[in-house]
Amino acid sequence: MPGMRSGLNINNPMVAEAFRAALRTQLFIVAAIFLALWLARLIAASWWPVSAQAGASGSGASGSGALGAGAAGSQVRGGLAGWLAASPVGWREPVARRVLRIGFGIIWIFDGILQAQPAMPLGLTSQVVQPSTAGSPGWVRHLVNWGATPWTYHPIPVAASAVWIQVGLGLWLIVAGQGRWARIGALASVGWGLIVWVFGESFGGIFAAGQTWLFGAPGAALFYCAAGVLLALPVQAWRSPRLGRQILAVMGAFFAGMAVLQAWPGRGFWQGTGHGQAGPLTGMIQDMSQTPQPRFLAHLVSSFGGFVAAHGFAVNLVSVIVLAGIGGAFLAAGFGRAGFGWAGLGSAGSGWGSARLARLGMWAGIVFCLADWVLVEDLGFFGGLGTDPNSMIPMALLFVSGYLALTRIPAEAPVVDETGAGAAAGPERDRQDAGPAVQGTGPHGRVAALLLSALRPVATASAASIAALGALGVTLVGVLPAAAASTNPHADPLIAQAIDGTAAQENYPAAGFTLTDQNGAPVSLAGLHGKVVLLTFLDPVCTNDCPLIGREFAAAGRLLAGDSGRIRLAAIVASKTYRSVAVMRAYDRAEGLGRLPDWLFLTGSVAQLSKVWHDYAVAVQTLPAGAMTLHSDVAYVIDQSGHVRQVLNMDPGPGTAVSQSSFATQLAGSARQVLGDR
Amino acid sequence: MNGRRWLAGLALLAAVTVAGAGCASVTSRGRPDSAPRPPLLPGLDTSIVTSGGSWAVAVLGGSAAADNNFWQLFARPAGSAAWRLVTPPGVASNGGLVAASPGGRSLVAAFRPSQDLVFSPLASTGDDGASWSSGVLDAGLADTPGALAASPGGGRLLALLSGGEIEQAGRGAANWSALTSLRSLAASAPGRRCGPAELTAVAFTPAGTPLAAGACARAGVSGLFSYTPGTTGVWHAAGPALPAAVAGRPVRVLRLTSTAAGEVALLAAGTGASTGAATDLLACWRGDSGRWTVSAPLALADVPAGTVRAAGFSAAGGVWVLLGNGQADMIARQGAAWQPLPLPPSHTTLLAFAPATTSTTGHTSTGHSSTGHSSTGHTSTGHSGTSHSGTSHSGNGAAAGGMQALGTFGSKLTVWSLTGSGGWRRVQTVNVPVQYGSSG
Repeated sequence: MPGMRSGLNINNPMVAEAFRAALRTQLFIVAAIFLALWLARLIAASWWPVSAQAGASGSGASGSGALGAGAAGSQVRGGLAGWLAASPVGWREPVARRVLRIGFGIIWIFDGILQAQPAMPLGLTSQVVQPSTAGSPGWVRHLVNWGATPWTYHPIPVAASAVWIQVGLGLWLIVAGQGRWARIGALASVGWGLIVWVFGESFGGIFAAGQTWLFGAPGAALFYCAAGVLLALPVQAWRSPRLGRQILAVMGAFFAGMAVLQAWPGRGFWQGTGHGQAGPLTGMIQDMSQTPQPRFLAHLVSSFGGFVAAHGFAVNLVSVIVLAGIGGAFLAAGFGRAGFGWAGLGSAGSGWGSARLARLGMWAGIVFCLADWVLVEDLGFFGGLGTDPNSMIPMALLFVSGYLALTRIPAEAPVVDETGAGAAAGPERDRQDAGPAVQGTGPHGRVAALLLSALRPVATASAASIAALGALGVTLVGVLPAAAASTNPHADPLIAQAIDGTAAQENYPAAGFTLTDQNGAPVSLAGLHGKVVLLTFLDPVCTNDCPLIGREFAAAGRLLAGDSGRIRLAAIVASKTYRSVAVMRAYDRAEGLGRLPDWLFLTGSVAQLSKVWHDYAVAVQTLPAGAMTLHSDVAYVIDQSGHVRQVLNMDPGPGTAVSQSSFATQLAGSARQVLGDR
Repeated sequence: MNGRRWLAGLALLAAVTVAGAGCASVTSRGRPDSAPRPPLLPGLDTSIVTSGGSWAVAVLGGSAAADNNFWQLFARPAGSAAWRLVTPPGVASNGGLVAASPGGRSLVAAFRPSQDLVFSPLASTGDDGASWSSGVLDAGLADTPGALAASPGGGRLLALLSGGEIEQAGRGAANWSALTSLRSLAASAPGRRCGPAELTAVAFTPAGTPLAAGACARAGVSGLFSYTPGTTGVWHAAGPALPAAVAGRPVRVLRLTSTAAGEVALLAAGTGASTGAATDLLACWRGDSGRWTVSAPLALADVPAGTVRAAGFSAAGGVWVLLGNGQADMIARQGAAWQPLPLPPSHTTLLAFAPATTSTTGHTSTGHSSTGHSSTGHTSTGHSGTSHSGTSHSGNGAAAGGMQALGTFGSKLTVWSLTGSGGWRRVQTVNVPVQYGSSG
């Protein structure tokens, strides 16, 4: 009914169930990938027992520090085997890198699990993305809206993709310790992190007003990107304290800058309350405390909000001092060796002074970040539709990693050859890994040889390498459906079905009529036999539903252009007053229906129309006092023999471009289904 | 050394990022989505008086949500004491109603587009709104009470569109054709002398000649144009010469209509009191002689908001204005002087002259032929003006005999009549069945 337009709840059960079903299916695929890889390795190992044993022993002996290593000695294998393992044995991963890698791996997996919330397909854009653009300039909003289009048009496949991409990236970082696999995984993490930062966090809000470190600026995903960049560095970079100093110096500059921003006058952070209203910090904390969460946490956050309201100046002063102190300590540690004598109390090297400052800064940072994470960010994922634990944990991981990179330098390790091209290549190695000989030189023999050579790298890969391959598979389970969905400019019909329910399947003769079309020519339903008719009822001067339904029909007509001549899109006037040909033409022009070759807009006398309305159970009611005519929003799909085959509710819901496209897809699908039934 | 440079570069980058965030925090402010109505341009609330009766257009609903406020049409036929709701059925009127009468008991109403509707449905009546027939204008009507005009006798229509175009239609409003546009008018010879910044009203002369009116960028020029049909059609400057006192100010035609005696226009000289510039209202009449008579100016200097909330005419050339501060002024008949009215009741949205020889409940009026006027009120250019003092409204009841104030509150229309003692007395309440939620 016009005026009764319904919205779309983010917890819509139909969408939630479709999301769960998609995740279940993809979980099965993921399990199948791992099972297939495991079986392939077992089979290959039975053909290449020597290499497989070597690989197994290599992985087992190297422990967590050698995940991904597969061969004995400090050698790497060439070819695909090299790509699968691609790291030397005997090289121990620096603890700083391991902390960063596993830490961010766990965070990615946690984020992926959060993405699996049932409300995510419909809620992400409205509850997360759009609020994040508030206060950002127009170009940011346009860019973010553009980026969110695939999600809004195809919420199920793209939301499911986000789950598997993030779980896959997390697994990838955890199982691929070093070598090419690890670096590719790290770069993939950077790429996805950038996508999340730009389109999910609107650049972390750095272009918006009122952002502060305390709320999570400049965006958690930016720290994911930074971690990915560090993990993608050549392994040699981690074997020198220089990288640690650089990390701490950058973090120091960042903290110092955040201190300046926090202290900047006129941004409201010095007042807990102002003019009887909560200041920005107080307001955010109070908002967070209102969101669903454990009672003790809500009480804790609410109490802190009250404290900030009462002592806003003091809280901000402490924040500025602590941020500046942490920044200063990290900067001093970062530049300690580079000639700033004030920082280096020792004579040379990293100096215990730098390390001490770094340690002080690190512990202060950890405490402050944890306090902010709990009291201000409310653990990040509470409060609405949480997608990540916010910025404090990733940030802390970064500077802890920097501290460890400065202070825990691994012992000198064997030379690493990451190219995978050198050591393994050679006749001796080939002979070692030659495996069983293949008899015969005919076509079957060549195929068998090819198959065996393909299995060889699988047989020689370590368990960790196989797991990394599985993680890549998990990521691809996410990437591929999203990529496919992004190429489809038409929204899923599921959105229309979530608004109005699925079409009722019918099979009864449609009531006949003879009316006049928009050109003044008589048209009867009998005259349309042989064509599938999509029939609806429209008031040409209605101000909300009917223009939208008209646009949906126009879009459906364009989708059905290939079936032109076999399909008719038709509407019958649903107004006792505005039913002239001139009004119908005005409506057609306004909604782009005038150019549609298969379009009919039918009218008649009030008596004629009233009979048709009755026959098709369409209620048409004229209301007083400046209200539009009330009528049913419904569409009938009538087959070539004049039988009603489907009845669709056509309440256009929120009337967005997405819902209009979804209804058009649904209409076109119904018409094609009836066409195909014949 | 290189390491230090690298670090310095990173630090600089971080600083720039932080500075960028800081700058963004103070520069990023949105602008309102839609341009506000020019301060002097009256709203759509108005009244129309013909020999057959009175019509009133007012918005009811009282909601903050636009789609719960509905514009309504009320009629008070000649000989009737009461107003009744006659809003044409079938169209949501949230966008506004604009009405024009060809005279007698006839009226054409146009619905301004709202929500997803982009054109203007029309409705016409010849029996005081008892029954309506439909029509359509295949475009959106402009947001001004003078956007629609009907020729005397009802043969033709003029419509001013929201894009500044003017269209005309013959009998039945079946076929509309372009007459001109703001751009075309600006390029014409009279347009160049005016520099029209916007068009605000259309009308027909009693002889059926199309008129267009607007605001001139050139100071002291009144933007009134008449159209001579022909193979190409020519527009002529048709506005009055204005008094020297307002010669240096921009002039905007706020309202324009025609009566049996000729055309009546309401002009504003100045940009609105809220801008701090002197602003005067002037009424102008043109009769059979073709010469304009201009009233003494009504100064708006102490009207706080500097706005004209609503304005209208009587059938004999009378003019009323309801100002932004709630006060009202009127000119009782053609050529008379401005006179302040007693402060209208709160919630008053428009005033209406009573039709001639109409008896209202408990109050008998002789319409605008009331006594108490001085013949010196028949002014022409150069008269000293009436200053709107905002106080001392007394003793004008007789002068404004038959004047009514119509006020809206929620879904209720209240009508007050001006008494002989200079007060307002409630004479009628109309409960309107506003269909809340029907456009949501």
